[in-house]
Amino acid sequence: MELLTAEHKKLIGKVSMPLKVDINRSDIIKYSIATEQLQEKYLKGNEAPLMFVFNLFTPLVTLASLGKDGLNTKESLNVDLPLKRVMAGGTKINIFKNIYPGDKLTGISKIKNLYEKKGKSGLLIFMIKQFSVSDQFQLKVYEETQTVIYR
Amino acid sequence: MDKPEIKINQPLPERIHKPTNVSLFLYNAAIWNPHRIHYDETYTKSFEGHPKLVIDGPLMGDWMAQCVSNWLSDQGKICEFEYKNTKPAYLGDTLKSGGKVLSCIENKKVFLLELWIKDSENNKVASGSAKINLTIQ
Repeated sequence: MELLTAEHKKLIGKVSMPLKVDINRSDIIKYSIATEQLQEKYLKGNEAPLMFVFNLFTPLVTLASLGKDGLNTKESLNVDLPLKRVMAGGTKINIFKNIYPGDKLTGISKIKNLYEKKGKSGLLIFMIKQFSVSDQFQLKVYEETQTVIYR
Repeated sequence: MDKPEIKINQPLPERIHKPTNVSLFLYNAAIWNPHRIHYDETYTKSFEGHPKLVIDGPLMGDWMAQCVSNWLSDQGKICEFEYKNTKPAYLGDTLKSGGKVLSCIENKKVFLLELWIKDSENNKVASGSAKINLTIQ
């Protein structure tokens, strides 16, 4: 049995609206404390650590939009798939420049691929998302390719 | 300051990580992640089938990135970073981040590193790689 219909496959190539995030020192400091950073430049919020970008552009929705598992019921690309439980797969990040407090970042998400595969406990859906981020000077900051697994 | 000499198979300094309820809470608050498997044990066991609270995969990704950036300090930059969680890790686990230099991509300037997070039984729970460039800071 196939889970993904032709309609689902049409989602490949879908692009999100541009998402915007202002970087502030306090958020960098909080992240650096929580991840047990050792370097002063991160703990003082002078520069963001590499993985600070994870979830940075997650849509800020009201509590009513969160599902039983606590997650937003619709992700930024507004995709409704037949499997609902989400697992993080692999992530690849290409870094072009550092992130500093005061930066104003814009990110655009795109579905690069969508396919299903049989796992140990049944069918899984794999979504490959690419997220491209630039700063207020239109300089490329990073590009993230993420695999999201639905089970 | 002179660039450090980097050798193939050179190990990166290892670091022990013992996340707690508090550190997991702070991490998920910092990344604005309300997924219950990281803070609601009853839900995690009953509905998601995990034996304990789950340590965030991207947090282990961060520890691998730190393993590189702490070793490099200001002597270079990570220009490409990749990670994958291979096995769930749970609150109470003692984890170790580490890695080694795999190869030189460009003469004494760009290197490829292999990275990992291992549990107390030396099983990899996350693996990754990083490309570092010693000509940028």
